[in-house]
Amino acid sequence: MNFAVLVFPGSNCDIDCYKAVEDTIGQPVDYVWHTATDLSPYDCIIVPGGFSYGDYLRCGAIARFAPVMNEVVKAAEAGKFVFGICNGFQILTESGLLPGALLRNKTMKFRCHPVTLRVENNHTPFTSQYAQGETIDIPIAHGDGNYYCDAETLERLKANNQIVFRYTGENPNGSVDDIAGVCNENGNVLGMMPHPERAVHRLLGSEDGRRMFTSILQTWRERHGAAAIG
Amino acid sequence: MIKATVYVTIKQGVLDPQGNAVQGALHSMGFQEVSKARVGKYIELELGTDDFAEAENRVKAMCDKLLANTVIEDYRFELEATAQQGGSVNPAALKQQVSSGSSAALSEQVSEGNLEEGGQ
Repeated sequence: MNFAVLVFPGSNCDIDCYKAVEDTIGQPVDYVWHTATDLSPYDCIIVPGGFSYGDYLRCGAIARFAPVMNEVVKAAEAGKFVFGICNGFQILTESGLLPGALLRNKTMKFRCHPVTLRVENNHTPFTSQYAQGETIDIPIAHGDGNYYCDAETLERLKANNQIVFRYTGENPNGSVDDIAGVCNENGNVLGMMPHPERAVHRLLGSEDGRRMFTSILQTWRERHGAAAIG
Repeated sequence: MIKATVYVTIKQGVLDPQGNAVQGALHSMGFQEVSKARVGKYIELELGTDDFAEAENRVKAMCDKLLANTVIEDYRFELEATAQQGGSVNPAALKQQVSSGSSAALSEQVSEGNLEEGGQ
């Protein structure tokens, strides 16, 4: 299974994502520059955190028009896995691949600390190895993580089971319905504000993020193994 | 040449943490009369065209695609002819305002308070 980690000017979690893929599942992984126009070799595209284009105008607003994003849209439409973390989540909402938007944290503070998440949907390619309702410890690091969508969209998210993670305990940013991560209707595009790639080893304070990567690999193998046998 | 002035604000009904912080600061300074503060963006664009209809369409597209995120933000803009060399322009005749709520051009008499914050 081949992984791409996109790199925009200002990305700063690209190396963490790359190392997390190497460390957790040992699959081939490449950095892919924002000017790339071919993502066909890749099965999973990680849009990492950071401050793409200096967060100018709005977080993710300019990255969303980078050449590589056309390819990300095509990959998502083809059913490939697209995984946006933090700024990556912001870019995916700006591009319309995920509903809603990320506003400034309600407290106006940049929050950087571990949070407890509840796994609300373990039927996605990204969360299959968690138990439904399991609580996990994953760090956040953001100033604009206040997920917002209108009431109608929220109802649709609930009806389609697209809310994948919620904050338990304190909501660190004021997000609607304590949302920390959502997926698209097909479940192959996930965005989340917390950083699972920073929680892949006990030495980092938590290894609860490892299973996101192992889930992705397991799901991909199941789908492709089944296709090959059929 | 036409100058476009674009204003982008957080939608009414969507939390504006910056506006709230500014309001709180004003209150703490004794400006108790401030019942609401909203913080937005101001963008100036110089357009290499003299065609107002074209400028309106193009600026609207710029707002919808990039300058505003219409999930959380409203925008409005004004178009104004910039002075031509050797010629005189009547600014009142060559100024129009457009808001994101309705695409209809509004007359130059429309004050800010009359601009509806429309849903998208």
